[in-house]
Amino acid sequence: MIPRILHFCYFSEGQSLLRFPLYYYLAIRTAMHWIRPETVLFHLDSEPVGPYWDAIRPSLEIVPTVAPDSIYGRRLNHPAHKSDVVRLNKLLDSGGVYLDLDTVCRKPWDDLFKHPAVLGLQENLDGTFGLCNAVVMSEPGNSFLSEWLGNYRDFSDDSWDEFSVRLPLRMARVGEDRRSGRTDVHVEPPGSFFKPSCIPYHLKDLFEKDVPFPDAYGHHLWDSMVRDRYCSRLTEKIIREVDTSYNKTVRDFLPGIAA
Amino acid sequence: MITGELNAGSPADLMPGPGFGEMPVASLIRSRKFGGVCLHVGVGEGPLIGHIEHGCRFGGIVCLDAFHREEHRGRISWKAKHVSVVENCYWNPPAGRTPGFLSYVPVGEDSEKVVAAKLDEIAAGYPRIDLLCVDVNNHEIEVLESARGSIAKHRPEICVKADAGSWELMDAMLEPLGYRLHRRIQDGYNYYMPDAPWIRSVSVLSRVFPAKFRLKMEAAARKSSMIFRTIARFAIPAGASDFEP
Repeated sequence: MIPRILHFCYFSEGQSLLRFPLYYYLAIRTAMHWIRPETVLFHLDSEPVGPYWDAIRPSLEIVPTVAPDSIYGRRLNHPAHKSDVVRLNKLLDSGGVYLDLDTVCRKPWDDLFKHPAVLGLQENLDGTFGLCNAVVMSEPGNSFLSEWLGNYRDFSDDSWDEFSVRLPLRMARVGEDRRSGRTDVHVEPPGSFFKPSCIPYHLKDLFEKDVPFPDAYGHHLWDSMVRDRYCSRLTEKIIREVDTSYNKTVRDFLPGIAA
Repeated sequence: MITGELNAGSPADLMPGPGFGEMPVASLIRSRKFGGVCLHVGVGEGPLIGHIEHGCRFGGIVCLDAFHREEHRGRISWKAKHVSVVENCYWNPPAGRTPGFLSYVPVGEDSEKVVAAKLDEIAAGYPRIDLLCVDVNNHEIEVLESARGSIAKHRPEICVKADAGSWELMDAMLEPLGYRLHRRIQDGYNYYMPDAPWIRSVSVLSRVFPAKFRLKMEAAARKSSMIFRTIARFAIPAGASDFEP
Protein backbone atom coordinates (compact mmCIF):
# COMPACT_ATOMS: atom_id res chain seq x y z
CA MET A 1 0.00 0.00 0.00
CA ILE A 2 1.15 3.47 -0.77
CA PRO A 3 1.10 5.63 2.37
CA ARG A 4 -0.79 8.91 2.34
CA ILE A 5 2.26 11.13 2.51
CA LEU A 6 2.52 13.98 0.07
CA HIS A 7 5.94 15.23 -1.06
CA PHE A 8 6.88 18.46 -2.80
CA CYS A 9 10.38 19.68 -3.61
CA TYR A 10 11.45 23.31 -3.86
CA PHE A 11 15.05 24.15 -4.68
CA SER A 12 15.95 27.78 -5.15
CA GLU A 13 19.61 27.01 -5.85
CA GLY A 14 21.04 29.92 -3.93
CA GLN A 15 18.47 32.48 -5.01
CA SER A 16 16.98 33.83 -1.84
CA LEU A 17 13.59 35.42 -1.19
CA LEU A 18 11.90 33.97 -4.27
CA ARG A 19 8.22 34.82 -4.43
CA PHE A 20 5.91 31.81 -4.06
CA PRO A 21 3.36 32.00 -6.89
CA LEU A 22 -0.36 31.45 -6.71
CA TYR A 23 -0.29 28.34 -8.91
CA TYR A 24 2.15 26.62 -6.52
CA TYR A 25 -0.21 27.39 -3.65
CA LEU A 26 -3.09 25.90 -5.63
CA ALA A 27 -1.07 22.80 -6.51
CA ILE A 28 -0.62 22.05 -2.82
CA ARG A 29 -4.14 23.01 -1.80
CA THR A 30 -5.87 20.90 -4.48
CA ALA A 31 -3.56 17.95 -3.73
CA MET A 32 -4.39 18.18 -0.04
CA HIS A 33 -8.10 18.15 -0.83
CA TRP A 34 -8.22 15.29 -3.34
CA ILE A 35 -5.39 13.07 -2.06
CA ARG A 36 -6.23 13.53 1.65
CA PRO A 37 -2.66 13.04 2.92
CA GLU A 38 -1.84 12.44 6.56
CA THR A 39 1.14 14.71 6.20
CA VAL A 40 2.60 17.04 3.57
CA LEU A 41 6.40 17.06 3.46
CA PHE A 42 7.90 20.09 1.78
CA HIS A 43 11.57 19.49 0.95
CA LEU A 44 13.39 22.77 0.40
CA ASP A 45 16.80 24.38 0.54
CA SER A 46 15.58 27.90 1.40
CA GLU A 47 12.18 29.31 2.13
CA PRO A 48 10.35 31.38 -0.48
CA VAL A 49 8.43 34.52 0.45
CA GLY A 50 5.07 36.11 -0.27
CA PRO A 51 1.48 35.94 0.91
CA TYR A 52 0.78 32.58 -0.74
CA TRP A 53 3.73 31.01 1.05
CA ASP A 54 2.59 32.52 4.33
CA ALA A 55 -0.88 31.12 3.72
CA ILE A 56 0.21 27.55 2.90
CA ARG A 57 3.19 27.18 5.21
CA PRO A 58 1.23 26.21 8.36
CA SER A 59 -0.15 23.20 6.47
CA LEU A 60 3.29 21.87 5.58
CA GLU A 61 6.00 19.98 7.39
CA ILE A 62 9.17 21.73 6.28
CA VAL A 63 12.08 19.38 5.60
CA PRO A 64 15.35 21.25 5.05
CA THR A 65 17.07 19.39 2.24
CA VAL A 66 20.36 19.98 0.47
CA ALA A 67 20.13 19.33 -3.24
CA PRO A 68 22.83 16.79 -4.17
CA ASP A 69 25.61 17.90 -6.51
CA SER A 70 26.32 14.38 -7.71
CA ILE A 71 25.09 10.81 -7.66
CA TYR A 72 27.35 7.76 -7.87
CA GLY A 73 30.15 10.16 -8.75
CA ARG A 74 28.20 11.63 -11.68
CA ARG A 75 27.73 15.38 -11.55
CA LEU A 76 24.20 16.77 -11.38
CA ASN A 77 24.34 20.21 -12.96
CA HIS A 78 20.73 21.23 -13.36
CA PRO A 79 18.38 21.86 -10.40
CA ALA A 80 15.71 19.75 -12.12
CA HIS A 81 18.04 16.73 -12.23
CA LYS A 82 18.91 17.23 -8.56
CA SER A 83 15.23 17.31 -7.74
CA ASP A 84 14.73 14.09 -9.76
CA VAL A 85 17.17 12.30 -7.46
CA VAL A 86 15.76 13.80 -4.27
CA ARG A 87 12.20 12.69 -5.04
CA LEU A 88 13.27 9.10 -5.69
CA ASN A 89 15.24 9.01 -2.44
CA LYS A 90 12.39 10.45 -0.40
CA LEU A 91 9.85 8.04 -1.88
CA LEU A 92 12.15 5.07 -1.30
CA ASP A 93 12.57 6.15 2.32
CA SER A 94 9.01 6.89 3.32
CA GLY A 95 6.79 6.19 0.29
CA GLY A 96 3.88 8.42 -0.66
CA VAL A 97 2.94 10.70 -3.52
CA TYR A 98 5.41 13.07 -5.12
CA LEU A 99 4.02 15.96 -7.18
CA ASP A 100 5.76 18.74 -9.04
CA LEU A 101 4.64 22.18 -7.92
CA ASP A 102 3.33 22.95 -11.41
CA THR A 103 0.52 20.44 -11.12
CA VAL A 104 -3.10 20.57 -10.08
CA CYS A 105 -5.41 17.83 -8.80
CA ARG A 106 -9.06 17.59 -9.75
CA LYS A 107 -10.65 14.37 -8.43
CA PRO A 108 -10.09 11.76 -5.69
CA TRP A 109 -6.97 9.61 -6.01
CA ASP A 110 -8.20 6.86 -3.68
CA ASP A 111 -8.22 4.06 -6.26
CA LEU A 112 -4.52 4.59 -7.05
CA PHE A 113 -3.21 3.79 -3.58
CA LYS A 114 -3.69 0.02 -3.98
CA HIS A 115 -0.72 -0.26 -6.38
CA PRO A 116 2.92 -0.73 -5.34
CA ALA A 117 3.92 2.28 -7.47
CA VAL A 118 2.21 4.47 -10.06
CA LEU A 119 3.57 6.49 -12.97
CA GLY A 120 1.74 8.20 -15.82
CA LEU A 121 2.35 8.11 -19.56
CA GLN A 122 3.08 11.39 -21.28
CA GLU A 123 2.96 11.93 -25.01
CA ASN A 124 6.04 13.66 -26.39
CA LEU A 125 6.20 16.26 -29.15
CA ASP A 126 7.36 13.63 -31.62
CA GLY A 127 4.43 11.31 -30.86
CA THR A 128 6.48 8.94 -28.72
CA PHE A 129 5.71 8.26 -25.08
CA GLY A 130 7.54 8.58 -21.78
CA LEU A 131 6.83 8.04 -18.11
CA CYS A 132 7.02 11.49 -16.60
CA ASN A 133 8.32 11.87 -13.05
CA ALA A 134 6.25 14.97 -12.29
CA VAL A 135 3.82 12.56 -10.62
CA VAL A 136 5.21 9.52 -8.81
CA MET A 137 3.42 7.33 -6.27
CA SER A 138 5.24 4.58 -4.44
CA GLU A 139 5.33 2.36 -1.40
CA PRO A 140 8.54 2.61 0.70
CA GLY A 141 11.46 0.66 -0.77
CA ASN A 142 9.65 -0.12 -4.02
CA SER A 143 11.82 -2.30 -6.26
CA PHE A 144 11.03 -0.36 -9.44
CA LEU A 145 12.09 2.94 -7.89
CA SER A 146 15.14 1.30 -6.36
CA GLU A 147 16.21 0.00 -9.79
CA TRP A 148 15.44 3.39 -11.33
CA LEU A 149 17.70 5.16 -8.85
CA GLY A 150 20.37 2.49 -9.34
CA ASN A 151 20.44 3.25 -13.05
CA TYR A 152 21.70 6.74 -12.20
CA ARG A 153 25.13 5.09 -12.06
CA ASP A 154 25.18 5.82 -15.79
CA PHE A 155 23.71 9.32 -15.42
CA SER A 156 24.43 11.86 -18.12
CA ASP A 157 22.59 15.08 -18.87
CA ASP A 158 23.32 14.87 -22.60
CA SER A 159 19.63 14.19 -23.10
CA TRP A 160 17.43 16.37 -20.90
CA ASP A 161 14.75 13.82 -20.01
CA GLU A 162 16.63 10.55 -20.51
CA PHE A 163 16.65 9.58 -16.82
CA SER A 164 13.41 11.25 -15.76
CA VAL A 165 11.09 10.17 -18.61
CA ARG A 166 12.64 7.78 -21.14
CA LEU A 167 14.47 5.43 -18.81
CA PRO A 168 11.42 4.59 -16.62
CA LEU A 169 9.40 3.86 -19.77
CA ARG A 170 11.97 1.30 -20.91
CA MET A 171 12.23 -0.14 -17.41
CA ALA A 172 8.46 -0.55 -17.10
CA ARG A 173 8.39 -2.47 -20.41
CA VAL A 174 5.20 -0.69 -21.47
CA GLY A 175 3.54 -2.67 -24.25
CA GLU A 176 1.27 -1.84 -27.16
CA ASP A 177 -1.65 -1.87 -24.75
CA ARG A 178 0.12 0.90 -22.80
CA ARG A 179 0.21 -1.26 -19.67
CA SER A 180 3.20 -1.96 -17.50
CA GLY A 181 5.05 -5.21 -18.13
CA ARG A 182 6.04 -5.44 -14.47
CA THR A 183 4.14 -6.13 -11.30
CA ASP A 184 5.97 -3.58 -9.14
CA VAL A 185 4.74 -0.53 -11.05
CA HIS A 186 1.37 0.46 -12.48
CA VAL A 187 1.18 2.73 -15.51
CA GLU A 188 -1.69 5.16 -15.96
CA PRO A 189 -2.71 6.37 -19.46
CA PRO A 190 -1.82 9.93 -20.62
CA GLY A 191 -5.30 11.18 -19.75
CA SER A 192 -4.77 10.55 -16.05
CA PHE A 193 -2.06 13.13 -15.37
CA PHE A 194 -0.53 14.44 -18.59
CA LYS A 195 -3.33 15.77 -20.76
CA PRO A 196 -3.03 18.33 -22.18
CA SER A 197 0.50 17.57 -23.28
CA CYS A 198 3.37 20.05 -23.13
CA ILE A 199 2.49 21.44 -26.57
CA PRO A 200 1.52 25.09 -26.05
CA TYR A 201 -1.26 24.73 -28.60
CA HIS A 202 -2.80 21.94 -26.54
CA LEU A 203 -2.38 23.87 -23.28
CA LYS A 204 -4.99 26.30 -24.53
CA ASP A 205 -7.51 23.60 -23.56
CA LEU A 206 -6.51 24.12 -19.94
CA PHE A 207 -5.85 27.84 -19.73
CA GLU A 208 -8.11 29.37 -22.40
CA LYS A 209 -10.95 26.93 -22.94
CA ASP A 210 -13.35 25.05 -20.71
CA VAL A 211 -12.64 21.50 -21.84
CA PRO A 212 -13.79 18.60 -19.66
CA PHE A 213 -11.10 16.11 -18.69
CA PRO A 214 -13.24 13.34 -17.19
CA ASP A 215 -10.36 10.86 -16.83
CA ALA A 216 -7.88 13.27 -15.29
CA TYR A 217 -6.80 12.90 -11.68
CA GLY A 218 -4.88 16.10 -12.30
CA HIS A 219 -2.80 18.00 -14.79
CA HIS A 220 0.81 18.91 -15.25
CA LEU A 221 0.91 22.61 -16.09
CA TRP A 222 4.28 22.43 -17.87
CA ASP A 223 5.20 25.82 -16.47
CA SER A 224 8.60 25.69 -18.12
CA MET A 225 6.71 26.01 -21.42
CA VAL A 226 4.01 28.52 -20.45
CA ARG A 227 5.14 30.26 -17.26
CA ASP A 228 5.10 33.74 -18.80
CA ARG A 229 2.18 32.95 -21.06
CA TYR A 230 -0.25 31.70 -18.42
CA CYS A 231 0.98 30.55 -15.03
CA SER A 232 2.61 33.71 -13.73
CA ARG A 233 -0.21 35.89 -15.11
CA LEU A 234 -2.88 34.15 -13.07
CA THR A 235 -4.49 36.16 -10.30
CA GLU A 236 -7.30 35.35 -7.93
CA LYS A 237 -9.54 37.82 -9.78
CA ILE A 238 -8.94 36.15 -13.14
CA ILE A 239 -9.50 32.69 -11.68
CA ARG A 240 -12.74 33.82 -10.07
CA GLU A 241 -14.14 35.60 -13.12
CA VAL A 242 -13.02 33.61 -16.17
CA ASP A 243 -14.32 30.11 -16.88
CA THR A 244 -11.48 27.91 -18.09
CA SER A 245 -10.69 24.32 -17.21
CA TYR A 246 -7.87 25.34 -14.90
CA ASN A 247 -9.73 28.23 -13.29
CA LYS A 248 -12.80 26.12 -12.57
CA THR A 249 -10.63 23.35 -11.10
CA VAL A 250 -8.94 25.63 -8.59
CA ARG A 251 -11.62 28.24 -7.95
CA ASP A 252 -12.84 26.68 -4.72
CA PHE A 253 -9.33 26.64 -3.29
CA LEU A 254 -8.42 30.31 -3.61
CA PRO A 255 -6.96 31.75 -0.41
CA GLY A 256 -8.69 35.10 -0.70
CA ILE A 257 -5.52 37.13 -0.64
CA ALA A 258 -5.36 40.29 -2.69
CA ALA A 259 -1.77 39.86 -3.84
CA MET B 1 8.02 26.86 -56.85
CA ILE B 2 9.99 29.31 -54.75
CA THR B 3 12.66 30.66 -57.01
CA GLY B 4 16.05 32.06 -56.14
CA GLU B 5 18.58 30.81 -53.67
CA LEU B 6 18.13 30.53 -49.95
CA ASN B 7 20.24 33.40 -48.75
CA ALA B 8 20.43 34.35 -45.12
CA GLY B 9 21.28 37.93 -46.06
CA SER B 10 23.47 40.28 -44.11
CA PRO B 11 22.68 40.96 -40.46
CA ALA B 12 23.19 44.63 -41.22
CA ASP B 13 20.10 44.51 -43.42
CA LEU B 14 17.89 43.31 -40.62
CA MET B 15 15.51 45.25 -38.50
CA PRO B 16 16.31 45.11 -34.78
CA GLY B 17 14.40 42.71 -32.60
CA PRO B 18 14.09 39.03 -31.77
CA GLY B 19 13.40 36.23 -34.20
CA PHE B 20 16.77 36.00 -35.88
CA GLY B 21 15.74 32.58 -37.16
CA GLU B 22 13.26 34.30 -39.46
CA MET B 23 16.07 35.33 -41.79
CA PRO B 24 16.01 32.29 -44.05
CA VAL B 25 12.30 32.45 -44.65
CA ALA B 26 12.44 36.20 -45.19
CA SER B 27 15.12 35.67 -47.79
CA LEU B 28 13.09 32.93 -49.35
CA ILE B 29 10.08 35.19 -49.64
CA ARG B 30 11.92 38.17 -51.05
CA SER B 31 13.69 36.01 -53.59
CA ARG B 32 10.45 35.50 -55.48
CA LYS B 33 10.67 36.80 -58.97
CA PHE B 34 7.21 38.18 -59.51
CA GLY B 35 4.89 40.70 -57.96
CA GLY B 36 1.75 39.83 -56.08
CA VAL B 37 -0.02 40.34 -52.80
CA CYS B 38 1.27 39.00 -49.51
CA LEU B 39 -1.12 38.78 -46.60
CA HIS B 40 1.05 38.83 -43.49
CA VAL B 41 -0.75 37.89 -40.28
CA GLY B 42 1.10 38.60 -37.04
CA VAL B 43 3.50 41.44 -37.66
CA GLY B 44 6.05 41.10 -34.93
CA GLU B 45 9.14 43.02 -34.02
CA GLY B 46 11.30 40.52 -35.84
CA PRO B 47 13.21 41.09 -39.01
CA LEU B 48 10.70 39.41 -41.29
CA ILE B 49 8.59 42.44 -42.05
CA GLY B 50 11.65 44.61 -42.48
CA HIS B 51 13.15 42.10 -44.82
CA ILE B 52 10.01 41.92 -46.89
CA GLU B 53 9.61 45.66 -46.94
CA HIS B 54 13.13 46.35 -48.06
CA GLY B 55 13.75 43.60 -50.47
CA CYS B 56 10.77 41.66 -51.70
CA ARG B 57 9.20 41.96 -55.08
CA PHE B 58 5.63 41.79 -53.94
CA GLY B 59 3.41 44.53 -55.23
CA GLY B 60 1.66 44.79 -51.87
CA ILE B 61 1.97 43.52 -48.35
CA VAL B 62 -1.11 43.55 -46.17
CA CYS B 63 0.03 43.48 -42.57
CA LEU B 64 -2.39 42.35 -39.90
CA ASP B 65 -1.86 42.30 -36.19
CA ALA B 66 -3.93 42.19 -33.05
CA PHE B 67 -2.19 45.17 -31.62
CA HIS B 68 -1.92 48.49 -33.34
CA ARG B 69 1.49 50.03 -32.92
CA GLU B 70 2.22 53.43 -34.35
CA GLU B 71 5.90 52.66 -34.64
CA HIS B 72 5.02 49.71 -36.83
CA ARG B 73 2.92 51.77 -39.16
CA GLY B 74 5.94 53.77 -40.16
CA ARG B 75 7.77 50.65 -41.20
CA ILE B 76 5.04 48.94 -43.09
CA SER B 77 5.13 49.98 -46.66
CA TRP B 78 1.70 49.32 -47.94
CA LYS B 79 -1.13 48.99 -45.51
CA ALA B 80 -1.57 48.30 -41.83
CA LYS B 81 -4.78 47.14 -40.23
CA HIS B 82 -5.80 47.23 -36.60
CA VAL B 83 -7.32 43.80 -36.68
CA SER B 84 -6.70 40.27 -35.66
CA VAL B 85 -8.06 37.08 -37.08
CA VAL B 86 -9.47 35.51 -33.97
CA GLU B 87 -12.93 36.58 -32.93
CA ASN B 88 -13.52 37.87 -29.40
CA CYS B 89 -9.88 37.69 -28.49
CA TYR B 90 -7.61 39.31 -25.98
CA TRP B 91 -4.19 40.80 -26.44
CA ASN B 92 -1.64 39.87 -23.78
CA PRO B 93 1.41 42.09 -23.77
CA PRO B 94 4.83 40.51 -23.36
CA ALA B 95 5.60 39.07 -19.93
CA GLY B 96 9.18 38.06 -19.34
CA ARG B 97 10.57 36.42 -22.45
CA THR B 98 7.25 35.54 -24.07
CA PRO B 99 6.17 37.71 -26.99
CA GLY B 100 2.69 39.16 -26.76
CA PHE B 101 -0.04 36.79 -27.83
CA LEU B 102 -3.79 36.44 -28.26
CA SER B 103 -6.08 34.36 -26.11
CA TYR B 104 -9.74 33.37 -26.23
CA VAL B 105 -10.28 34.69 -22.74
CA PRO B 106 -8.39 37.08 -20.49
CA VAL B 107 -5.58 35.07 -18.95
CA GLY B 108 -4.22 37.85 -16.75
CA GLU B 109 -5.28 41.23 -15.50
CA ASP B 110 -3.16 42.81 -18.23
CA SER B 111 -5.22 41.09 -20.96
CA GLU B 112 -6.78 43.66 -23.27
CA LYS B 113 -9.76 43.04 -25.52
CA VAL B 114 -8.98 43.85 -29.13
CA VAL B 115 -10.89 44.37 -32.35
CA ALA B 116 -11.16 41.10 -34.19
CA ALA B 117 -12.24 39.78 -37.57
CA LYS B 118 -12.01 36.60 -39.58
CA LEU B 119 -9.32 36.52 -42.21
CA ASP B 120 -11.90 35.66 -44.86
CA GLU B 121 -13.69 38.93 -44.08
CA ILE B 122 -10.49 40.91 -44.46
CA ALA B 123 -9.35 39.07 -47.55
CA ALA B 124 -12.69 39.51 -49.28
CA GLY B 125 -11.61 42.93 -50.51
CA TYR B 126 -8.57 41.70 -52.42
CA PRO B 127 -8.77 40.38 -55.97
CA ARG B 128 -5.69 38.21 -55.49
CA ILE B 129 -3.58 36.81 -52.68
CA ASP B 130 -0.33 35.12 -53.63
CA LEU B 131 1.26 34.45 -50.29
CA LEU B 132 -0.22 34.01 -46.84
CA CYS B 133 2.33 34.44 -44.01
CA VAL B 134 1.22 33.51 -40.51
CA ASP B 135 3.20 34.01 -37.29
CA VAL B 136 0.71 34.25 -34.47
CA ASN B 137 2.04 32.37 -31.45
CA ASN B 138 -0.08 29.24 -31.34
CA HIS B 139 -3.15 30.67 -33.07
CA GLU B 140 -2.13 29.39 -36.49
CA ILE B 141 -4.86 26.77 -36.73
CA GLU B 142 -7.55 29.35 -35.96
CA VAL B 143 -6.08 31.74 -38.53
CA LEU B 144 -6.05 29.08 -41.23
CA GLU B 145 -9.57 27.97 -40.28
CA SER B 146 -10.75 31.56 -40.56
CA ALA B 147 -9.19 31.77 -44.03
CA ARG B 148 -10.63 28.63 -45.58
CA GLY B 149 -12.65 30.58 -48.15
CA SER B 150 -9.72 32.76 -49.20
CA ILE B 151 -7.40 29.78 -49.43
CA ALA B 152 -9.85 27.94 -51.65
CA LYS B 153 -10.43 31.00 -53.82
CA HIS B 154 -6.90 32.37 -54.24
CA ARG B 155 -4.76 29.25 -53.71
CA PRO B 156 -1.90 31.24 -52.14
CA GLU B 157 1.39 29.75 -51.08
CA ILE B 158 1.27 29.52 -47.29
CA CYS B 159 4.10 30.09 -44.84
CA VAL B 160 3.23 29.39 -41.20
CA LYS B 161 5.41 29.59 -38.14
CA ALA B 162 4.39 27.02 -35.57
CA ASP B 163 5.67 24.86 -32.74
CA ALA B 164 6.31 21.24 -33.62
CA GLY B 165 3.16 20.24 -31.78
CA SER B 166 0.97 22.05 -34.30
CA TRP B 167 2.62 20.72 -37.46
CA GLU B 168 0.56 17.58 -37.61
CA LEU B 169 -2.66 19.55 -37.11
CA MET B 170 -1.70 22.00 -39.86
CA ASP B 171 -0.73 19.26 -42.28
CA ALA B 172 -4.01 17.50 -41.57
CA MET B 173 -5.96 20.68 -42.15
CA LEU B 174 -4.22 21.81 -45.33
CA GLU B 175 -3.91 18.48 -47.08
CA PRO B 176 -7.66 18.15 -47.78
CA LEU B 177 -7.52 21.68 -49.18
CA GLY B 178 -5.04 20.49 -51.78
CA TYR B 179 -1.83 21.66 -50.13
CA ARG B 180 1.37 19.80 -49.51
CA LEU B 181 4.28 20.69 -47.29
CA HIS B 182 7.00 22.12 -49.52
CA ARG B 183 9.62 22.38 -46.81
CA ARG B 184 10.16 23.04 -43.13
CA ILE B 185 12.50 25.92 -42.61
CA GLN B 186 14.43 26.58 -39.43
CA ASP B 187 12.66 28.17 -36.48
CA GLY B 188 9.45 26.30 -37.19
CA TYR B 189 8.41 27.89 -40.47
CA ASN B 190 6.39 25.52 -42.62
CA TYR B 191 6.02 26.36 -46.30
CA TYR B 192 3.00 24.87 -48.06
CA MET B 193 2.40 24.86 -51.79
CA PRO B 194 -1.00 24.41 -53.41
CA ASP B 195 -1.52 21.48 -55.70
CA ALA B 196 -3.26 22.12 -58.97
CA PRO B 197 -6.66 20.39 -59.02
CA TRP B 198 -5.52 17.82 -61.57
CA ILE B 199 -2.64 16.61 -59.39
CA ARG B 200 -4.98 14.78 -57.08
CA SER B 201 -6.69 13.19 -60.07
CA VAL B 202 -3.31 12.02 -61.31
CA SER B 203 -2.52 10.67 -57.84
CA VAL B 204 -5.69 8.62 -57.80
CA LEU B 205 -5.33 7.35 -61.36
CA SER B 206 -1.68 6.51 -61.03
CA ARG B 207 -2.28 4.15 -58.12
CA VAL B 208 -2.65 1.35 -60.65
CA PHE B 209 0.94 1.95 -61.78
CA PRO B 210 4.12 0.97 -59.94
CA ALA B 211 5.27 3.40 -57.22
CA LYS B 212 8.25 4.70 -59.18
CA PHE B 213 6.10 5.56 -62.18
CA ARG B 214 3.43 7.10 -59.97
CA LEU B 215 5.94 9.46 -58.38
CA LYS B 216 7.13 10.54 -61.82
CA MET B 217 3.55 11.27 -62.92
CA GLU B 218 2.87 13.32 -59.81
CA ALA B 219 6.13 15.25 -60.20
CA ALA B 220 5.26 16.04 -63.82
CA ALA B 221 1.81 17.24 -62.78
CA ARG B 222 3.26 19.47 -60.08
CA LYS B 223 5.79 20.94 -62.51
CA SER B 224 3.05 21.80 -64.96
CA SER B 225 1.14 23.37 -62.09
CA MET B 226 4.07 25.66 -61.34
CA ILE B 227 4.34 26.67 -64.97
CA PHE B 228 0.70 27.68 -65.11
CA ARG B 229 1.02 29.68 -61.89
CA THR B 230 4.05 31.48 -63.27
CA ILE B 231 2.22 32.34 -66.48
CA ALA B 232 -0.66 33.68 -64.43
CA ARG B 233 1.68 36.00 -62.56
CA PHE B 234 3.15 37.35 -65.79
CA ALA B 235 -0.34 37.98 -67.05
CA ILE B 236 -1.07 40.48 -64.28
CA PRO B 237 0.45 43.92 -64.90
CA ALA B 238 3.06 45.23 -62.47
CA GLY B 239 0.83 47.89 -60.91
CA ALA B 240 -2.11 45.62 -60.45
CA SER B 241 -1.66 45.31 -56.72
CA ASP B 242 -2.01 49.04 -56.10
CA PHE B 243 -5.69 48.67 -55.40
CA GLU B 244 -7.76 49.50 -52.42
CA PRO B 245 -9.80 46.69 -50.87
